[in-house]
Amino acid sequence: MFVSKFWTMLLAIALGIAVGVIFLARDVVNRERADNAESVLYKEMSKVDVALKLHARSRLDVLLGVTADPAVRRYLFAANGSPERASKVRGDLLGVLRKRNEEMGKYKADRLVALDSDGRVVAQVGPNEREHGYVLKGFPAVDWALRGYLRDDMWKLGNEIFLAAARPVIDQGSYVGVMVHLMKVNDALAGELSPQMQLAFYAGDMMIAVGQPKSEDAAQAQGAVIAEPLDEVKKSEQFTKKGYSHAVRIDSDESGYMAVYGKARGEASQLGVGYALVVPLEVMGSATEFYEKAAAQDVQALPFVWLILGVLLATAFGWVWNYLEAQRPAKRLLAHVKSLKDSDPKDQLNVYRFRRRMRKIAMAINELTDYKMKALMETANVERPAKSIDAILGPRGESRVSEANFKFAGDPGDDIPPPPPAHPNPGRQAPLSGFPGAPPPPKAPGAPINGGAVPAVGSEEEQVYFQQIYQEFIGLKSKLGESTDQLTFDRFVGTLRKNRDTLISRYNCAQVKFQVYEKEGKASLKATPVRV
Amino acid sequence: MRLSAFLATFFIAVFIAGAADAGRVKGKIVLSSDYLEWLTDQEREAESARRASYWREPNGVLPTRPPAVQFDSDIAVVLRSDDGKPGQPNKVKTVKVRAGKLEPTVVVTHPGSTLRFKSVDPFEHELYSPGLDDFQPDRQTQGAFRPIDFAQEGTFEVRCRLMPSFVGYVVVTLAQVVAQVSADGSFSAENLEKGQYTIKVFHRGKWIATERVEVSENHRGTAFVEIAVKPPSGEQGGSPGKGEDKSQE
Repeated sequence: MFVSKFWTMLLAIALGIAVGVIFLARDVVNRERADNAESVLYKEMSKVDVALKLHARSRLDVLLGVTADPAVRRYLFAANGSPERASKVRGDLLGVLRKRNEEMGKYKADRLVALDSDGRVVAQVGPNEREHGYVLKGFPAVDWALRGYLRDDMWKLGNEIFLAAARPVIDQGSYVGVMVHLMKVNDALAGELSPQMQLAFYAGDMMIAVGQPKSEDAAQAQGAVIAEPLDEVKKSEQFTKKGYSHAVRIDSDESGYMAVYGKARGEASQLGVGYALVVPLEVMGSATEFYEKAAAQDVQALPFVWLILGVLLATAFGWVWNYLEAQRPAKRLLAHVKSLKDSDPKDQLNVYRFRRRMRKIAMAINELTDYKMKALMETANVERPAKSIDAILGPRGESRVSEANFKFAGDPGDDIPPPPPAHPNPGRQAPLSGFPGAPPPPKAPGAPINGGAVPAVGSEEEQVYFQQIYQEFIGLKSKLGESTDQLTFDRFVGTLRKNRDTLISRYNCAQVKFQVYEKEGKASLKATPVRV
Repeated sequence: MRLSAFLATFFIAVFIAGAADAGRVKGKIVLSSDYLEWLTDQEREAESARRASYWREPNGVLPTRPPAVQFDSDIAVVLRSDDGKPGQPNKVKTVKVRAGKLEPTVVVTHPGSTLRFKSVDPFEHELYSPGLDDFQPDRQTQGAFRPIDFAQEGTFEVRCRLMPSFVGYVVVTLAQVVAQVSADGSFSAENLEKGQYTIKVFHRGKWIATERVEVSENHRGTAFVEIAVKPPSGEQGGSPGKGEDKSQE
């Protein structure tokens, strides 16, 4: 079964590797997707930055239409000097500003503010148009514009974010004021700035505007989902130093996303204002998704022929090993067991014809038959007490009552094989020396024969008999390549006598017969009580 | 640049023309072109560092101006007598809180005085001073007052948590006299006792110039005092906040 087990182990390893590869592939695919998403996000971040820059340029340009308007210049010139002068022109200026603001089209300001040369509000279009007189000096964009610069900015006023643009107003060769264009950042503007990818603006940990891109493949994440990792992101070293975060994975109940967060430019960035770009991220949740998401062309591209051949080959090998190591030995054992049916009742299986498990089974069968035989004999003795042992074991001068195997110190051995069969038969092992029922080996003239009559206990013949057994034992050991250095005759005889006495006392027999035989490639002795 | 070149013809840094006339000091502050250029550089560096904008370019029609210094708001002049008693706490003084700055931007007061910050523009503020535990951010709407006690001597920066570019400075000094500075840079101090005085000039929290002047009973003429200021060196300019006052060194 070794090869079968080895083959099973190989198949299990191959299966384990295959499953491991699938999981690895899933992780690799997920990581590749995340890397790709991150790369795309950084590229898109640059695009958004460019879009914001161009948007700022456009706002500054459309504002030129206001600052160059003769009426605006004239009114602002007139408004400088005192609040009273400003109040005189406020109404007219407001009318002109409204008209100009409407002409700006998509860049129409949510708030269009006219300041005098001190940075004081003269008029403003948008909410609270009646509000005036307050000072915007101190806002960097306004301060730079008062000095003659065009400048954009991003402001956070309350909970709103504004894209700001400021231009100086020049009249009669001097700076007479500043126009400030404020455009509120809302969902529509976010969508316009990034039509292909979801763009969102945040302030602190709150989302101010969440764009809904036109592209169907783009993310459609909720503001709360995008805002979720903001706290962690802002603490990161990357965000603090570089102004933008690593790509962050965010998951909602429905979808997974990847997002990067960046600081906005301008005043508002110091108030925690920035923007986030979000892309959908499809993640392999389980290995089976490979099969679920495989397209037809992916399936067609599989090497079916090789896969089927591999499966067939693996199966064939498995079957071959199974036949060779399991089925065939079992058939052999079965055949031998069946052959016992027609043989002598004392016949047993030759266990050396079988290997490993089959040998153990054969030995178990032999033990069982021994046990059954013994039980039968005892039953026979009880039922027919008048029968002599000779009647049972045959007409010879000795009959078998019992037998015992023993070994000498240094001779390994555990299993004592069953006694050699009385008759030659396939599957049987013949003893080397005499055994009751076996044809006696040729005798030397005048010497007791091993297997023949056993001399009386303590007689001189017994010493000769032991000598003969000793010689046979030494001879067999030498033949089998075993060492005989430690085995002296005295020691040998001592052991024989000790066993003889034990068996005589146990079975109340007259003598004990010893037989030399080979057991599992080693010389062994068997003692059989003899009743004369 | 033409303005800068013109100003460069004047003496570098701050020029004070002083007239000590029995209890009265008059003077005028003139900022040199170097100082204005230094201010411009500082401003640009700060802009670049905080990625303030995408576009900042001259209008192309008129020359641009250097950073505006509003003398009556951004500059403060104090006089401290060598012999006189330290300045006593002022009455409660009101300071206007504008959208982007305090008005005046530099407020001078004596230790133990109280300033009332009043928000006058339609913007919310959360004023605080990094060096003062008693001046922490607190929401302030239009028209609301916020009294703050300044117990210790020093220069304190006032910021707004809702408006990062908001500027304001409170100079708390033991100097006895706070001169009134007009929009053109001239200043005057009245009713001075005779003695030696140290004049200190602050611009937006930075101590930018010092001059000594003597007020004598017998002195009837006009004395002109010139103060050479090297703006970027840091020796003349003090650092705002942290309760530090170099006049004590």
